[in-house]
Amino acid sequence: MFRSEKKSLYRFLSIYLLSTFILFAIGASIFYTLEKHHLIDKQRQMMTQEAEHLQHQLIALHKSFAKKLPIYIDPAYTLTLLDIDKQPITGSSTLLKLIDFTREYQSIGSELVYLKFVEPYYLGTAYIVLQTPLDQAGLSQVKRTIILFMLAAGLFFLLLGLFLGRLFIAPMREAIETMNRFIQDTTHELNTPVSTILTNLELIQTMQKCDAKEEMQRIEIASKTLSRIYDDLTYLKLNHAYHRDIRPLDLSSLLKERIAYFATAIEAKKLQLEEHVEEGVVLEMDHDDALRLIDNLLSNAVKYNRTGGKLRIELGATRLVIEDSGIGMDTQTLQYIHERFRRANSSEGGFGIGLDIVHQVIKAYGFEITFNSQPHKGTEVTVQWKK
Amino acid sequence: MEKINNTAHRYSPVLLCILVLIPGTLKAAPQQETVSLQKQCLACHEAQQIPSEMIYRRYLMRYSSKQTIKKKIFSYLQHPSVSTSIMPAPFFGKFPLKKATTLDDKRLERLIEAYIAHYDVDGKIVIVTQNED
Ligand code: HEC
Repeated sequence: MFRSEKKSLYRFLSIYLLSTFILFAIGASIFYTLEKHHLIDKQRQMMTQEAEHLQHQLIALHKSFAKKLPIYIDPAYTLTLLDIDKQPITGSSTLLKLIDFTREYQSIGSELVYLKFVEPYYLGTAYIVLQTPLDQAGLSQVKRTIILFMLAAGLFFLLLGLFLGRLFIAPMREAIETMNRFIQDTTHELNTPVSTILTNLELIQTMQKCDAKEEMQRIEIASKTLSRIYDDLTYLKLNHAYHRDIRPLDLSSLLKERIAYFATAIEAKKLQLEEHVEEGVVLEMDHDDALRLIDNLLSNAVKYNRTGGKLRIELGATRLVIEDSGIGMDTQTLQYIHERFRRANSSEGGFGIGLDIVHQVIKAYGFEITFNSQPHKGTEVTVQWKK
Repeated sequence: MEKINNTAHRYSPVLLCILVLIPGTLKAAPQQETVSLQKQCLACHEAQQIPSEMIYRRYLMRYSSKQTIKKKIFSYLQHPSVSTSIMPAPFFGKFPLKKATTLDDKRLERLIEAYIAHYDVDGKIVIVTQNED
């Protein structure tokens, strides 16, 4: 799967799952409230019944002159009988002070309280107060059901989302594949003519048969540029992350070789070359990676330099510095580039194939890159690695 | 240490006396009240076979509040009349209207309190938890 494709899929999935989750959460909370009310209603109904039952007992007991007047009650409830002054006749609820006597039902803490006003006052009872703990077991049962349902629904919608997402990005995938194939075909077609030009140029130069030396030089530079673009494209296409051939690499000789390769371009621009290449700098690196890194940095330094400018190349044990005296960059551009290099996963292009490749290599090896630049003065690029 | 022990020893007989006497005096008061209630009120009621317990239940059912009951009995005992009685008129075909009390207010109030305590149901109602079948 392509990077951009994955990203789109994740975006789609997260929006999709988030919205379904919000929808379900709202549904679940409505369900929970309804179910809670239902449970409380059921408890209220049972309390009302119990109170009715107690009232009948009070009426019967009122006529009894026995020594003990037993009143029978379901153990689920706590009973308190109050007279009209709210003084307890029997039983004593601890919640008595908290009861709102204007309300029939109320929940105080985790207790449900039912207040029944009775008249006439049999045995002096004006209020029957019934108290019972809220049905926590029922509530937690409801909660468990909701959680289970949410999990199941979440899983289902995740799978559905994945399926839909793939369906959704299928056209994009096709477009990317077509484009890739196109690039691959085109670059392949490019290779042969470019190398033909270059080999023939060399041939002409060795035979010393040509008078238009400057024109020849321009043709060489242009062809080399084409050839490099071809290399960059192939590099990007091959996706090196999967087959890097990492081994000790003599960076010094590679750098020298590349400077020689750019010699024509340097000469054409009349650049003053300052070369400080330390011998025997060896890094554990893939050859292609190093090549593309150096080529792109060098090519930029030449391309953006002014004619007759300065080009300083310095290679030490821990760093490579390439400085030009070109157009430079303003702080905003500089900041933008730094920002792009800092963000780990932002290799979506946007600053040209060249810097994109530099970024990929830097990221892959954990190098550090810094740009020092002033507009119209030049740019200094430093690549630093740990030794 | 020794000082504290000494003081404790010195006062211990006094403390003992107080401890013994307190519950005695506490108990004696209500007992006296019961005795005078029996003499001042219940004896006459029993002799005339007044259904006092039933009458008290009527008070309870009508007023519920102990304070109100006390006030009502108090004023009734001072000015008994068929119209202010808790009992219906036919009751007075069987029983004579009682005479106004001659007791002073303080004593009467104490007696009524004892009277209420004697007939009240507070201590009689017992809550029995039982699973409904
Ligand atoms: C001399 C006899 C006698 C004595 C002493 C007496 N009663 Fe009565 N009492 C009666 C009779 C007779 C009735 C029933 C007729 C009536 O209600 O007036 C009665 C009725 C009552 C009633 C019912 C009132 C009602 O609303 O009808 C109360 C309460 C009562 N007595 C309280 C007392 C108290 C308290 C005392 C003591 C301080 C007391 N009595 C002393 C004779 C007595």
